[in-house]
Amino acid sequence: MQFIRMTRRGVAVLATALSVTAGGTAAAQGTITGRVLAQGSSEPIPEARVIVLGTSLFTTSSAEGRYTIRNVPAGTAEVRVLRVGFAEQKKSAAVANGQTTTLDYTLTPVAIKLQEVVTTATGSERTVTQGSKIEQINAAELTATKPITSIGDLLTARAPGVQVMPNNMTGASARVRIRGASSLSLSNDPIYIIDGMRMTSDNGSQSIGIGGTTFSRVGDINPQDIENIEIVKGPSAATLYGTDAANGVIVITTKRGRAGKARWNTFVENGIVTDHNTYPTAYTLWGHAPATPSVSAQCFVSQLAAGTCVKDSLQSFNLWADPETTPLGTGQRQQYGLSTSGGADALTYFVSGDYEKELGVYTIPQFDRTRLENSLVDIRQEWLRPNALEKQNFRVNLTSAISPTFDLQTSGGFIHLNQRLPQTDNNTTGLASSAYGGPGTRDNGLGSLGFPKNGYRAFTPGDIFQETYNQQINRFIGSMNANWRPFAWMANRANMGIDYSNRTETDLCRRGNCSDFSTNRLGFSTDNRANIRNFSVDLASASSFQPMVTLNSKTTLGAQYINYDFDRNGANGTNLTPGTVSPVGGAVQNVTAATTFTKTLGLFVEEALAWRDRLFLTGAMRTDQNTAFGTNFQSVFYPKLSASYVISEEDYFPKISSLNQLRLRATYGAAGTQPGPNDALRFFRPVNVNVDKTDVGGAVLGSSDNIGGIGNADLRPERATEFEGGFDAKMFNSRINLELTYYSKSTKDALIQRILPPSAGVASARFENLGRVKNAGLEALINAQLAESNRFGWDMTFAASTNANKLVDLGTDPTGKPIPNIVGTLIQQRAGYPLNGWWSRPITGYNDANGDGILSVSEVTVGDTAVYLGYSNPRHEASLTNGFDLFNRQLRITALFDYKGGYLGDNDTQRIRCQNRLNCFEESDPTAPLELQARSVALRDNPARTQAGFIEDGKFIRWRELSVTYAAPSNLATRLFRSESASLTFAARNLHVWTNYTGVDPESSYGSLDVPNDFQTAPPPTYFTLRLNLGF
Amino acid sequence: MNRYRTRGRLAAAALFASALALAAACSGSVTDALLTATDPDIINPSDVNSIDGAEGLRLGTLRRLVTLTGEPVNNTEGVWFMGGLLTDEWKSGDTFVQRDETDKRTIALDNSIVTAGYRYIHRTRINANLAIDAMRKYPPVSVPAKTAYIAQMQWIRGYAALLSAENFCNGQPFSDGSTGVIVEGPPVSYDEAFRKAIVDADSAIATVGAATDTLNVRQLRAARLVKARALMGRGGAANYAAAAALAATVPTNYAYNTYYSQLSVRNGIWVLNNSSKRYVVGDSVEGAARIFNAIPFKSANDPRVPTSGTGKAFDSATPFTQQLIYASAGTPAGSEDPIAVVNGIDARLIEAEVALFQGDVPTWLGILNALRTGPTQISNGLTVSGMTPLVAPVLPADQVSLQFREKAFWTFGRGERLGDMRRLVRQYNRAENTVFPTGNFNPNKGGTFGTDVNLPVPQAEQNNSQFTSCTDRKA
Repeated sequence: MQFIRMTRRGVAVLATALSVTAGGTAAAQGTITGRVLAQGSSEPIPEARVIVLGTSLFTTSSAEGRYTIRNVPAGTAEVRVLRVGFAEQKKSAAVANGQTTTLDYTLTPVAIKLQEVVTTATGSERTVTQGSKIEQINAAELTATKPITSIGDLLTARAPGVQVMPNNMTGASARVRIRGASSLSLSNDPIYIIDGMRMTSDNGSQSIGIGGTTFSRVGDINPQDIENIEIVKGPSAATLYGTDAANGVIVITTKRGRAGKARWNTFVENGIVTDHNTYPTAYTLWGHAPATPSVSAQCFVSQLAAGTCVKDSLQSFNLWADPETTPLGTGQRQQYGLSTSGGADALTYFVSGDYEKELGVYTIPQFDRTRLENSLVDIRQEWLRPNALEKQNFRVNLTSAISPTFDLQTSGGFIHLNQRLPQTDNNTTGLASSAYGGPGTRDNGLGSLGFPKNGYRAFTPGDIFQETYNQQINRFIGSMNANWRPFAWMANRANMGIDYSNRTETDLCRRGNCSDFSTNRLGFSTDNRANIRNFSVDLASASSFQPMVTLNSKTTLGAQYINYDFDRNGANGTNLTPGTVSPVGGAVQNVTAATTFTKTLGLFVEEALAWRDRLFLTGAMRTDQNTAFGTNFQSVFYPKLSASYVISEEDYFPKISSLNQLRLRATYGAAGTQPGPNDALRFFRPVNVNVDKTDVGGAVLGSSDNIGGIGNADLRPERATEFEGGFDAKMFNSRINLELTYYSKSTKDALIQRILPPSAGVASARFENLGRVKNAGLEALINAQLAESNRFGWDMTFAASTNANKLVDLGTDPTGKPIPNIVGTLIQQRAGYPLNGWWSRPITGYNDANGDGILSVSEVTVGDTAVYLGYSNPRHEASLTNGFDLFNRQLRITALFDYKGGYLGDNDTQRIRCQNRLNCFEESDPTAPLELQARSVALRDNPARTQAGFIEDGKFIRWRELSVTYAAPSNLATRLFRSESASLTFAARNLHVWTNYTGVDPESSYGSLDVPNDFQTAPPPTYFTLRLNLGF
Repeated sequence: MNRYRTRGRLAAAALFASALALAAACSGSVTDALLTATDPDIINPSDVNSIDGAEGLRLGTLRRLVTLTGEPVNNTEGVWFMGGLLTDEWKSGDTFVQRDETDKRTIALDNSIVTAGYRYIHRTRINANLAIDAMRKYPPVSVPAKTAYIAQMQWIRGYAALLSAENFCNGQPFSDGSTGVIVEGPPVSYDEAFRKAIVDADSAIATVGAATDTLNVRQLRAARLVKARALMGRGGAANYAAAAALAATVPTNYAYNTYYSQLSVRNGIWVLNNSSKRYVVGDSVEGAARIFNAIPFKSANDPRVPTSGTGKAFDSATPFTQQLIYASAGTPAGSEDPIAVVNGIDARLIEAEVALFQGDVPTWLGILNALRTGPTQISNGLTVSGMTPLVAPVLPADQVSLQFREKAFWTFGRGERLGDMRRLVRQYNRAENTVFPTGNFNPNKGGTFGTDVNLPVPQAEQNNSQFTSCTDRKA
């Protein structure tokens, strides 16, 4: 009733206000119309954004370059035209009541193509008005000409400060970090907005593990659908996105139609996926004790040094390199797409459909195929190709201008995806565990099923890949964006959308199949089905007015509501009836369920001032309420202040011929990261127990992962505040664009999984707002058009960033006692050091004192205590893209090189090979370099058993992309394909890496973790693709 | 300028109206409706305020007991296993450093499996407390259950304290976080932990009172065995005598079992040893390892610890040996075999030890030989009978060794061995290196045995402001 009363009152006030303003509609108004053309060619410029300054009025030019803006207040209007690739232009016009004023523009092309409009939480804004740097990625161009298979590929090495740990298996998730990790215990993933609504972006979105590698819901999105991506980097820019935006916001805009005749575009892409990495060879050193020369045994270099073993022979075998035993094959990739767009000014459309299929590199080696065939086993395709995806994608985007003051956009995309991952990574019955773990010989006996293991440690791929994990996604992302401009000074926006995914996962091992481990060969089937729903509503109302002739003001009020709902039911059957593939065929059947609700309600207000169209000041405040907050914490407030100053337009600014524009910018703002939905609650959970041979249910205190469940009434979001400052400079006739940004981000009330004393008898940890984390760094971006002529063009983009990360403190407990350091085997969280830094007892020295070329235990010294070794994530990044245009711009060649440094990688694969698999080079071959021998001795023989030697410099330079695009002349396109345009692109990804890291690849990682983990993980594969684009 | 002023007023009015509308939309009950979320997968505290809720907490505590004892728990097993690794019962055939270092007697303070084991002890305690409180408010309907179920929780709480005392070092805190506010406990000696176990067992005995029904007697016997074992742990003639008196009331065929099934939990000994091969039955004659107390569990071919196995363990290096004590129930066989938490064999062995301690060699030998003659049921599928009678060694020290050797075979895998080896050091003045494995460690893994004789209170306990480290690491 309270709501009804308040709503009624609000509506009454609103009606009164509208009736007051109704007079405004009768105010003197006119129309501005005109045409936007390119200088030189006089070609019409479509999609130019035409803005009447100081009002909410804007439009875009048609395919013929024409535009019309109605209801412009009478008087002098300033009209600005913006278009990527052209210098912006502003003109004044006198608008008379009921009259039409013509205002034509001829825009000058610029060498560097920069987006002049960005998307913010309050709507589209001119880039120049923003105090923070928002990165932009032209996805449409990249997907057409680069080896892009995922959003991860689109983001990798494109923007300074945006770090992507790429996915290494087909379909697997990439990890994105923006300006470092801020949270010790919560996700450091950015959030995603697609077409104005919140997108589900869960990383690790799967309920059945295969050993480490996971899928992400970001990976579902088809890059071909995307027009552009904007990256809002930190809290200073993301304030109005509120709780959960502290790690940055990635704003995706899908393609839309343009007014004009129907344009058809189609593409065909085919390619291969290969693995050119060098995998480690397995070694076995054979010897004998001095006293028993006839008794042969495996021994190690350190034993040779100690004289307890005498070398007889050294065996070596690399199953990865042997064509009979390698589990690596050649993957395939194909993608086909068709889209059409067009329409009239009143209604434009974009309709597209895509089909994509990719087979990863893993396969059953020849020896195992032969074995299975000889055993009359029908080799299933999913065993032969355990890593694959197949995706169909359909999208319809409509834009309708219902009236001059009201337009409506609808966006709808449907994705059907089937993908599977092999059993591998950190998985006893996975490929890597056996493939990395075998001895230095192919002749290593029979497995438990009686077949030769051919150099594999325990199980062979023919059995390993019989366990099939499959994930099917049916996903609909739909949104409706309504814009109503009842008056020239007022714009209202309503966005509403839903992102709904139905996820079905199956993990199947038929009876009599799979690795002979535990009860696997009795068969099991898991079928988990989840609904993931993300519903969001976004309302905003902006009013503009001019308090003074030189000052424009825009005030925006808004509200956002996000309702995330995840529910999963699962069934599992074990001990399967022969022939069955479903849980119902199991002699033992089990069910699981999981539910997550997260709801956020936020309100914001923003005041933006523009003085003489060169100084822009913005102040804003957002407040949020969230289901996850504790009962003692009701809402959170996030402020923001921002300034942007185009100082070069001031009269007092010295005129420098080489400097076209200089803009100074600074922003301060805050945003949050929300805790988990149940983290504040005290609750029990159900458990099964067998009592006197009867299964019954009981209740125990705390959550199933033993994090929380005992309650924390004071729980609140992490709060990140950030200052960002820098400048943008356009120089040398806008042929060079330079952007430099410094940021300093501080996270307080950091939610830390505080370890609880075991003797308390409750959860292992619970989330408490304790710590402070700081990130600071520099970001630089240079775009340069170094040469430009019809015959030859050379453009270059260089992006670089640094990040210094520090855990300032871990906070104190209720008694004021500092929270102890969080100490793991290799990772420690200590105040004054980076989050997730590497720590270990160091190898302080080694010395081959007796000169025998091999190290004994006494010749390696290890420190007494663990010391800080270094960052676990890159703190320095740089990327260099060079593009060359040849032959009248018909041929374009681009190459992207990517550098990451300032960190250490954990070669954990080699560690376990030395420690447990007993097949590593340095422990078996007496000719191994002393540095490598030392790490093996320190790990195996020194009482410290330190792993420090396997924490290595991870820096690398990767030749990330190469693309060669030939754009056929229109007459050739017509002759060959009857098309208006045609281009052919050869592209390659991950061509080469330069590094001193001794593991397979410094980017071998599961992809989703805050600490990169090279533990039996897949290295990046190489893609070669050929793509034909046709336009009709 | 008038135009601007008019617009300003209009804008202000519209903004004011919008603000009111938004505020209305986001206030009070509307906000609550928009933000309310109830997770159906959890049990809210109010949901256990009933007879059924109290019963749920009791059954939850029984699951905690399973976790504490014979559950493999996703590779973070409890002290039955880790204590056994530290002794000669089990050998690590694993790649996990946590198990290797425990087997090697060089346990790191951050050993995550030992940490989990310590947590299981106290989670059992705390859940038992919650169940007791709930059952007092909402007693079971059945008359026998009113006392038996509370007594059950009390002796289980005592058993948790007993395992803490037997396995962990001096300086083990007992805290309470059940309300969400952590009430930190100070470090106590293992002797004080034994006393806690005795107090809890006494509570259970008192709760049962004079009841003679099956349900109550079952709990009474378990409580008496917990108390008897704790008294043995404390040592001394009086405690020994009291322990023997309690044990004498428990028949040999009594067993309080934890049960295993495919739906709930599979038998952890079967999972970790027979199935995953991470644990290997110990054998003192194998490799270069030498165990002075000489329990070659595999080579002895003793019918109480039947074994088999060929090939390698999980680490692909250590020769594999599996136990066959728990190898009969379920599919695969052994996965559902119950394991006794306490049983009548324990009672006889306590009586025997006390008799030996009191110098009554004939009685001691008679008890041991009666068990060997049998039939004595060790597990669901293993009943031993007709073993050759023992002959008493001449030297008292050898008699003690024989007592503990016999006990090691009878109680294999049930979490008693570490406590007994510590008692050999503490109460029988044996040198640690004559009781615990010494010399070269598993030749496939390198190095030599360390010096640990108990499990350390884990580093995570340093989050208790009253705890710094173990008071000492003595046996």
